[in-house]
Amino acid sequence: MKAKLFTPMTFKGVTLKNRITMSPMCMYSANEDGKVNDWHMTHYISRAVGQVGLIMVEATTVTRQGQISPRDLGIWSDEQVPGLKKLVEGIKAHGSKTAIQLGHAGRKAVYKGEILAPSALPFDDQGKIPLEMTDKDIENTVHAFKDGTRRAREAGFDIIEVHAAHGYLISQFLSPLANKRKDKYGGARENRFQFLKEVLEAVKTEWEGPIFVRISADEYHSEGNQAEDFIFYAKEMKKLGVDLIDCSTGGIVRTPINVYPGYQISHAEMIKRKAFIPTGAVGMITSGLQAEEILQNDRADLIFLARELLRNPYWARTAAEELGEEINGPEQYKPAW
Amino acid sequence: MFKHTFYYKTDIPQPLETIWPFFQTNENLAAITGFPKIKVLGDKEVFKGSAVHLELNFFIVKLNWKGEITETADRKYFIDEGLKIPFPFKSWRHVHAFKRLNSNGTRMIDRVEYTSFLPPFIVNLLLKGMFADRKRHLKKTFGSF
Repeated sequence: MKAKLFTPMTFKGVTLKNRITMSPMCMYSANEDGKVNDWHMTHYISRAVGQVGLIMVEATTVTRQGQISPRDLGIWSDEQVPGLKKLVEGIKAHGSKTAIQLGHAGRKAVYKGEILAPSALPFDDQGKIPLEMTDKDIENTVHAFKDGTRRAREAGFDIIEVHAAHGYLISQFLSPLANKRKDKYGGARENRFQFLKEVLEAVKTEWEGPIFVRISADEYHSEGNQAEDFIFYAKEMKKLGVDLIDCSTGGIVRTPINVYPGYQISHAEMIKRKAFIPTGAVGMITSGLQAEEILQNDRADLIFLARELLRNPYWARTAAEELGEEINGPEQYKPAW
Repeated sequence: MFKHTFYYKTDIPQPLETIWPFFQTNENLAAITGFPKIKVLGDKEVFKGSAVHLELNFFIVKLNWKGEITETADRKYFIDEGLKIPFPFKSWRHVHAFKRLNSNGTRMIDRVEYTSFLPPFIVNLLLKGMFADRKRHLKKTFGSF
């Protein structure tokens, strides 16, 4: 039987040639204009040459105020579209599909002016105290996600991923650790989900293609969201037409995390089984056998590779060899593949 | 004029949840058809009312195929019917049925009801060749039992 890692998967008419996904990773390599430069072209396209099925571009901020760092890629201006378009075309030329992760850092933003969050609580002792978002701030931010989606569409991306993980803005709204609001956006989990719901509805006004959402499915805190909360969120997202939940963990509070091979897979498995929605597994997945085990046991549907792809852009070839599969590499590399 | 129904069965070692979405895009249908080479000119996705507009490349001649998806039932079947189709066909109704074999297997049954200007023993040879080639492509893509 063919290794599942090398079988296609289709989301709303977009077929990935295999289950290998390049996880979004901040490159901190853009200039202050947030535009794609030579580094991004080389970095992403080389993984497409390496036969990754889906290349997901790093967290790309929908407002300047929401940058994780001043060196993030941005999608807050129409001037950023041509660079992204060129990048998309470069990736697609090698048979990979393209995704972009849209994000806003909220209280974790590195920005000279005021920063925004659901509540005026800093991330940690050294963190800047954010402004509690007004209804108008929320409306503007939701609109920024909508505009970012439109620009992603114009750039030709196949898939949108909404970044609702790692303690950034949407994750802050979801978590009782960061969201102390008393209005319709805070309190019960239904209310904490409201902001993400509005973001997804705004995204859908500009986007008919597949939508992924990355969540931190474990906040590593007894007062944070628990498994049943994430199952609830995942079910709600499914109702809203989300195609896959990309299951990461942590980042909402500063706490040590016990990291070991596949340490986040159980969360992808839990969401998949309890919310009946495809999931992506991420976190210290390094070998073809490990990836195949996850897929064959239906613990997740896509394998998100992060650092392993930084070490080995041709990981697909390595994994294929390990699993006894033959894959088509670039014509030019055939003598060696 | 000849009227006939042609059947073809393909078992694929992947769950229905993987196979059904794969066949919901005309581009994938084109990708697994080796001969004739197909270029999708109509709708990309398969939905009721979507246009099946294809360019069939027989190397020496390119022919246009115009049809429509007339019916679809989630994870069960979809039907394409020819509207303006090339020789030797006069009419074409293709039921693509899918059946769950087990948690890790799917059976596809293609039923083609056609009328043609050529007798079935010739047309069926063409169809058999086309579907067998598609089976080879599917085996390459999804493996075999």
